[in-house]
Amino acid sequence: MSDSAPLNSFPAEIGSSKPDPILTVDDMVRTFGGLRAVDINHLEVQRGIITAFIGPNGAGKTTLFNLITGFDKPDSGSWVFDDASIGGKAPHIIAQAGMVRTFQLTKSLAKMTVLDNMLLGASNQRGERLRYALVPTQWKKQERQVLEKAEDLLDRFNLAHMRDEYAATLSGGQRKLLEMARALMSEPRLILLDEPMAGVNPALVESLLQHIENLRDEGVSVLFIEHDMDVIMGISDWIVVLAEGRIIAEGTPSEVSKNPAVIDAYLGSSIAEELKDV
Amino acid sequence: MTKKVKGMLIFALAAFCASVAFPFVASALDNEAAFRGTVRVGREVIPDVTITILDDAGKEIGSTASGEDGKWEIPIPSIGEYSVQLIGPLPEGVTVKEGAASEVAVLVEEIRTTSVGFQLETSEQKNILEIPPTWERLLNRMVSGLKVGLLVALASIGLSLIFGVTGLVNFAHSEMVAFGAVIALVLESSMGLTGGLFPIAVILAVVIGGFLGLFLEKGIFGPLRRKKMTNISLMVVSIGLAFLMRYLMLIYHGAEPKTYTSFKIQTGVSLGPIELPPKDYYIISIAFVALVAVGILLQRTRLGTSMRAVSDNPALAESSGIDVNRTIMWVWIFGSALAGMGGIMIGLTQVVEWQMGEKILLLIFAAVTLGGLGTAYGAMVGGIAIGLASETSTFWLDNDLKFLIALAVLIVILLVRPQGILGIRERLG
Amino acid sequence: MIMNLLAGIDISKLLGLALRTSIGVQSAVFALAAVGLNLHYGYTGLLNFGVVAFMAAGAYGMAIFFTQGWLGGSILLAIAAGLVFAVGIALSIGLPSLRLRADYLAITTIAIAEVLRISFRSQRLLDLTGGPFGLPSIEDRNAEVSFSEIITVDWNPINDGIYGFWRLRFDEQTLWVMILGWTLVLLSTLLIWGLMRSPWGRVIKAIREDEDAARALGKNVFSYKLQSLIIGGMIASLAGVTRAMNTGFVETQQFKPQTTFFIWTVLILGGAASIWGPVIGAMAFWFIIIFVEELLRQMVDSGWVPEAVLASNDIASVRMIMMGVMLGVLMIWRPQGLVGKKEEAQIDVR
Repeated sequence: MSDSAPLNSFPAEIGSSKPDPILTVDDMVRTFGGLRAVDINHLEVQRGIITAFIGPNGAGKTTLFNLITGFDKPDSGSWVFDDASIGGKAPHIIAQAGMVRTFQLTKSLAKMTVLDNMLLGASNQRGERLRYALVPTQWKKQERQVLEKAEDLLDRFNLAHMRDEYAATLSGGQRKLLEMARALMSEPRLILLDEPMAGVNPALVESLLQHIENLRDEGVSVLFIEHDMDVIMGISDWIVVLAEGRIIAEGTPSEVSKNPAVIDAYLGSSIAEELKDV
Repeated sequence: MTKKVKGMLIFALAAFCASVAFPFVASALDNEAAFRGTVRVGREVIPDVTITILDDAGKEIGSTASGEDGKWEIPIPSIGEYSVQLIGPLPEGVTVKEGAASEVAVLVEEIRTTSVGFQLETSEQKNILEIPPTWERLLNRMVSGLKVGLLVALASIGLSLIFGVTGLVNFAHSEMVAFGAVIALVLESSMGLTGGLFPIAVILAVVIGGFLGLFLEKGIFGPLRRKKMTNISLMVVSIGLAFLMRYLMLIYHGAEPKTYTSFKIQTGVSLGPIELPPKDYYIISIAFVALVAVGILLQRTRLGTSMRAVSDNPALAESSGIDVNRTIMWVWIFGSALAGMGGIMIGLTQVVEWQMGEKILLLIFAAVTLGGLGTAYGAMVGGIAIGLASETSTFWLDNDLKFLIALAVLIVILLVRPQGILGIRERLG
Repeated sequence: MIMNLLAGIDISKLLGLALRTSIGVQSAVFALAAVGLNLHYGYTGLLNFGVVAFMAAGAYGMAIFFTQGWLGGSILLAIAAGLVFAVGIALSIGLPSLRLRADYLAITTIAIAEVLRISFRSQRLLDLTGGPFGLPSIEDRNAEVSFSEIITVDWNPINDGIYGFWRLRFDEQTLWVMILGWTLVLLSTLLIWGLMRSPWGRVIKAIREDEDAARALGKNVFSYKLQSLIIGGMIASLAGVTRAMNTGFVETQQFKPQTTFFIWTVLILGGAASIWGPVIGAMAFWFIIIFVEELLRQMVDSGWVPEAVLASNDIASVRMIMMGVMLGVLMIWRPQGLVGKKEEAQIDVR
């Protein structure tokens, strides 16, 4: 748990203000052919903690991720990341600003080696600029630093032995790990994980959770989407519940689980069953 | 009788009725086709100006001087590319207009009299009164555009349907068009199906076209699809196939453009302000009937419904009991037969040659993308629009630029609205 | 039977001709264009079906500037103008269309290449491009010097004579253009090698694999694609320039879409996404084409193939058929080509 702010001091209400928000979203609306996929008045994500988005399929969680990270354009709305307005910016600009995401269906670059995947993650590489690319002396030094960092992270994520294999040869869980490790190469301040546990061998889930907790302890803010209630309860510091594009509750895990709106929403629909089964 | 068979029968019947309605006018050449023109400045004609025509190898094929009335005429020896040159002498004070040339390239695709004009001006009077574009001329261009459009539409439907059900952009589709035209010609000449028997050649060629589609699906694309090859790889395979087919046609059909002997050059028949050769009236009506038949097949038959369902969502179609592979097979048969029919009609209005496919490929793509890849109606609308746009453009633009209009439409549509006019924006996730 | 068959065949001529073509200028031209296409398609995953537009830009750009005597009649400046023209084409293809899906990009690029070709043919550009007649001799109007003469005679350091051995004999002019062409191939291959081993190349490959992943990692995908299009396009434009050096003329017939697909076949035969794939592909392609053509010619001449099956004047078409068959067969059975890596060859660009 973050040292900076005792979480039970935030009011557990929709759109509550946080002492030190890293991400603030205002009036964001995205419609698909008349259907409001995302409709959020105000949302703040606290720095230095693990925040989870939960909600049934079609609640707009991934759409919200896509909007925040610039992969989709909202009909209206503004959002601020770390005091910089990033609304409407291209995805790569947003990533460069320090907010990096992963995908629900992993996007490991199958025909590149695990190591190359990692090296790609580092930001501000001189050698990635065309004018320096042909002159190795311009980028060799930085490349060595990036390589060290990549090997460190591969060690931490138990992927060091796969270093020179094509990413295509990894298992589903390993790909999730690789994608997370790759995102960390750029030293993001906020990392957005889209269902990091989905499709992962149960034996690996524990270590994935541990990685996420370690991230927080190192000062990275984490925002993630998850279906599995147990996982969320155990790991999240703060939970935002979405249904039909709207936020219906937020609070600490214990608060949310007691929240009548959430209980209503879940018990009143088959989604509750679905959540239990997962 | 199953509904599918019924659907095919309706189509075959429509094709047959359409074909027997052909006129069998094998009228002889009434006059020899020639390059023709009048040398003039404004309304003043200029006699005794030498005009020379060179072929694409630079060899002189004819030379003449303009007569008392400024008129000149040089016979067209064959289809090809020619350069018509104004040699002179021009009277004092008369020059070739600024920006124009004393040499005009003419592409002869069809043996018929072609007018060639040179833009001249007198030094005193820079602005020459241009012949005002009359509504009649525009109307005739539009009718001709409609004809081209209907044929392009007919030829394009298969490409669009195949894309719809399989996701393949089939570059060999235009060769299927050419194949139909060539087969009909071979049947006409080898089996003596000329004149009144020509519709039999047409029907046989359409059926053979259908078999070609069946063969391509069963022999090539079906197995490769099951091998999990991506559509991009299959697209490259279809390019290879296009070259194979095109050059086999060159070897076995020959390089010379040919025409159906049943339909020689005909004199125009006027219908109000419209003047067209009689065969064009028939071509327009047959193409129209065929398109309506396609619409009926898609809307009213079980086969049509499954085609649309597979095109919309293959997984859903499969789970609701439609045999997807069978539907795809019928789409290939049907699309290929239509392509062949389109090819025969195009051959009737122009010539039958091995390069037909290459020439029509981008027009078909333009039509299909304009209307929206994957929808048969899109191909129809797109085809007609492309035909109209490119033919009427010659009213304002050089003839050799009319193809550019179609390409420009294609490019702009892909950039601005890649799903086409009738296409649906990406489905919801 | 086999001995009989061999009796009519002149194997030395067969191999000689095939080898000769595979190291000739035409082969270097194809290799250059394929090196450019390799960056576009092999590494970046751009389905560029308009390779020939870049070749035409290079050749026509150079020829127009030279014949008009602009830039003081300097050949090098005229070639530079051709390269600049190719950059212009890359920008006008890339800026609007790089966001398109792969198959739409393919259709757009082939259409743009045709627009360029048909425009060059237009009467309105008769003074510049020679319209449908092309520029039969690339000659400076003011100075009345010919481009190919300067390159092959004035600049030629090789003494007059015939060089080589066996059937691989070349006169000094052909040899010189061959040296120029293959030097360009070597330099551009080195350029691609240098680029692809750098972090820049890593981003390029990542874009081929998954654009969104690259975006999520902060890479400006659009900018990289445009850079790739420009660099590859300039290399392909040099192919057009080299061809003009060899033939001494430009005309629009040289730039029909089929040339694009020749280049594609060369690339896939050699192996896309491999450094030497385009070069090996070009040499192998010409070797195979000429070998089979000559074999067929000899078989037809010695009566082994009846005229009804193949007449001797149809043999030229066989080249196109072989190209088509090779393209299809390679895609199906050996997408990695001769020297490519199997793991990198599966094509699933979107």
